[in-house]
Amino acid sequence: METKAAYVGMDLDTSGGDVVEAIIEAVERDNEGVVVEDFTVYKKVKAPGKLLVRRETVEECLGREWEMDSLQLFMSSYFGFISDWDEDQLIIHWENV
Amino acid sequence: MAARMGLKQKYHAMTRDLMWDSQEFDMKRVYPLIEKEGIILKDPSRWEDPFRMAYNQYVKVQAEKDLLYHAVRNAFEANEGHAKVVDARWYEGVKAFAIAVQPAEYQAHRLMAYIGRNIPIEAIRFATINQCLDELRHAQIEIKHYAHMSKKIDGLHAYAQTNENLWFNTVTKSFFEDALSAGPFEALVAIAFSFEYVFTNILFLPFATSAAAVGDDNFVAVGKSVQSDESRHMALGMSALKMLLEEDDRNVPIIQRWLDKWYWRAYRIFSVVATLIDYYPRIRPISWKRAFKTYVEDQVFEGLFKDFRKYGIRLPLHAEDSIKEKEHYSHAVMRILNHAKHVNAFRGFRLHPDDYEWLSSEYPDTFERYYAPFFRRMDDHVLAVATPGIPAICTVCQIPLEFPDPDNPTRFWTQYSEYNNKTYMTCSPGCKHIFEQEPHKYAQIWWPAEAYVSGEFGENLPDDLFKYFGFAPEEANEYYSSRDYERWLQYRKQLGLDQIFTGR
Ligand SMILES: [Fe+2]
Ligand SMILES: [Zn+2]
Repeated sequence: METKAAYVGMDLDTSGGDVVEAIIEAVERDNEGVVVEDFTVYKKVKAPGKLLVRRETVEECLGREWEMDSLQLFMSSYFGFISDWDEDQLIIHWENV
Repeated sequence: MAARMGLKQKYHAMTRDLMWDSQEFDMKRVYPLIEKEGIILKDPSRWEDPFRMAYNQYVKVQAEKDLLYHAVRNAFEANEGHAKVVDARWYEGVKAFAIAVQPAEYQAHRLMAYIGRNIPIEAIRFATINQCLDELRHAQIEIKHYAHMSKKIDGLHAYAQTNENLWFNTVTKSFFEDALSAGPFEALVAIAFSFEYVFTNILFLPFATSAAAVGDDNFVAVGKSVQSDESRHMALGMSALKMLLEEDDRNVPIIQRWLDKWYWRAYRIFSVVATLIDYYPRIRPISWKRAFKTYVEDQVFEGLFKDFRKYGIRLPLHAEDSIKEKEHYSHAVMRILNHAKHVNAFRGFRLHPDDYEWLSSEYPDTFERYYAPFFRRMDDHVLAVATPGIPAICTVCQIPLEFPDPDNPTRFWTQYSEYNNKTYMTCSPGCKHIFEQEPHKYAQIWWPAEAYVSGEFGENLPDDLFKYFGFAPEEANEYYSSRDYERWLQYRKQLGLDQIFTGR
């Protein structure tokens, strides 16, 4: 059996509407191997080992300005370590990869 | 300030730089507990909270969350939402939540205040202040939710009293009293890590999904509002744990001991959540078994604990037991709740054909074989399975001693320990281990229900017992034969809702 890097990810509250959709689209663009699972009231978006959210990509997908720290309004949960979160990006990762 | 500060600078200016060292007093007297647990700290001030929340921003965001919740609740009531849920037995589960979870929120706020007061590390202190206020907010919106529910539903009319005195509530109480009477670092690992990081996801995410599936938008809003703070709480747990592990190697065995204890302790308190996922909702989007696999096995054991290996940390001692138990957990606990439903504020209930079908297909190896026969005994006679009196409980988790051994499911898992010439019973090897680490602590157990039965509070049983609990015998028992169900059907009729959900 081949061992894959464990997933990191976020559970996003679907009340966020187009913002959450844009975040998911941006995550899919900026990361490899992204998986999205739909649990109606929230969506789980995950990637093996490392997940990057970039403000610029979210803004492109959304078609308007967006601030990185407003992510916390919709990030109901996450798994992995948040190693970097500033005005431009957020990185969640496991260290053993 | 002319130039606009970035997030990092803003956070430093408004939170971290507010700490100071006392000149007048010996710091050891200001923080008397800081060295008591053997934790060694070298330069903890370099630790940061990834959320970098400033207080003004915190207040603004939280106020918005509260307003949003109350708007949803008003709309739900105006639209007769209670009449329209798929099956109102769901509310018996919400009552279980009321009795198990709301006191946990309240106690967690006390605990956060205790941790913040006693650990002088800026990032941790600021995060605990925020969390302390969060937990109080959760406790309050939940109480508000029950106040509204009690207009239509039995069992919550004397909420404060029921919360204080119901035998079932000692499960939550003992957990938090255990943490509050531990040192501040242990308390931090107990709550911020084991409770918040490992388990709260299972509580709010699948349960809120179930709420949406059965049509309780009011609870969806409660769940989401509470859960919206959880990422911050999880971040505190993660950063604190990593900080303690990296500050000094000598911390590692201490942390391992706490992880062993608090993993199992938190896991047991979430046992009732297994029934909230698998039993109370008539429509279930996910099973306990699958939720446990996702949130605990994949995200925590396979993810986080692999990262911790480099510090010499292994999986919690009884992790394997909880993995084995996932096939049995909700069924065993629902059986316990049905045994004791005549003395509980949330009712048990008869299963419908669609319930049997779903449970059998989700749990093909265990449900039909070990549990369905028990539930079928209630098909004709709802009290067929009631156990007279009040059940005997585990000395540690305080749940009735009726957990089956997952390796031998027809036998109970009950364990025995000797301490000071007395025998103490625990529900499982996990609780037995916890008892034997600190027997002097758990031997002090005083169980109000037992005290009551032995005549400590009165003679006239069971009437006085119900008075003490704060609800009437008619508010207990089986749901589909209850006055609540009858009222719900009437309520629906008035609105012209005659169709009843049959699962097809
Ligand atoms: Fe919390
Ligand atoms: Zn126990």
